[in-house]
Amino acid sequence: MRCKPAEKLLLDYIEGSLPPKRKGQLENHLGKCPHCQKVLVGFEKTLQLAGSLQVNYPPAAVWEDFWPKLRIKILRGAPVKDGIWLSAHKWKIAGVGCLFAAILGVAGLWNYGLLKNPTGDGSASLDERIVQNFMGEISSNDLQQVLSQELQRLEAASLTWSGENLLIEETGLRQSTDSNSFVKELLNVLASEADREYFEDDELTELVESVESRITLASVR
Amino acid sequence: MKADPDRLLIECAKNGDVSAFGELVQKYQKRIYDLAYRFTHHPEDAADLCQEIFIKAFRALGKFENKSTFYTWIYQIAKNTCIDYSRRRTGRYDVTFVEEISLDDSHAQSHYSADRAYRRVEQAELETEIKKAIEQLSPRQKQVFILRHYEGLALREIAVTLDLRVGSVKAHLFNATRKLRKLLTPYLEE
Repeated sequence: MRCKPAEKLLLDYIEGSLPPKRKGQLENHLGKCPHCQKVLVGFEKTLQLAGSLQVNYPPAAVWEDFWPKLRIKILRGAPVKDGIWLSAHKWKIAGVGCLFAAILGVAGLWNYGLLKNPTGDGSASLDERIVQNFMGEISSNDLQQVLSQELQRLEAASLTWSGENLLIEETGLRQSTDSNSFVKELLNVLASEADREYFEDDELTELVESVESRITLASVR
Repeated sequence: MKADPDRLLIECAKNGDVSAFGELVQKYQKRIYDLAYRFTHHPEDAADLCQEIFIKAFRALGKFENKSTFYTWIYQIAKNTCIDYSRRRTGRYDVTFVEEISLDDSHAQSHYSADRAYRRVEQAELETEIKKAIEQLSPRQKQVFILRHYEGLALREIAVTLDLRVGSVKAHLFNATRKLRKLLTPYLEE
């Protein structure tokens, strides 16, 4: 076991939730690695220190006023009516919001030049196809076809890389026979900030970035 | 399911009895405050957040269907409100929040009391550093760390609350712990 994967097991190890086999592998590594031993002690002390943080309570007067103030707020200001108004108009609000977002989106895309030269020929990128679909220039079926091809290309290009198995193991993915659902699942896993940081400096970074750059596009479908 | 001891109060509150809701508030305000404090690190802000939580609960009371206990229900509202708060407030921990420790009390004359007062100052400084470190986590890391280490939620519960995968929760926890370790290094050596 190398240091990177070992470090990622340390929190589970501290909590005692590692399966016996993993625990044995980690302990074996810890026995030989002063760096990981140091990280383990550091994590333990960090959690101990953070756990020592007490809750500070406000002065007694704040507590005495807590309910009287809250009661006034509840009785005043017709909050329930506000709720009903919002509830009654939520679709209108959502509609206006969507329209506004769409206008902003189109303006933004125009700025980036994505809408200026819709090619309509076979050389258009996936991004351009999505924009064309958004503008009603190509049908959803056409877009789906392009996406499907892109996902298959992605599978052929990237997922045969030797890091694939490690990525599957790290993310806990099930390897699916359906390339589209596999890639989509992978994209979901990698879509968070946490995962980006998790794989930082790892040999998986390149693969993660290549898959991630297409996750957003895949999720459009 | 076990009968909720608060049921009668809830029914009265639903029918517009604000005092009945007040009894529920007084019963749970401390537990809700504890959660709010973990996210704010400031007593008055925590009390304000607590008020926001109870107002939201009062407004939503009509939707409470006795499928869980009142506390479980309001705790969900509290968690979500605190998570919203941590998204809104991404600033750094304000050192002016630190409670002032007086060295000038009548007991400080003796060596023993002076030593104790010194330790109190040291402890207060350490607490400030821990709070500042937690405030430097990303909102997501902070939410996950608080829910795990202060609220004691299971990874799966956190995943459901934050709409994340368990793997992502673990990744956030790992990154949060790694960052805290780095920020608190001077205090870990002692």
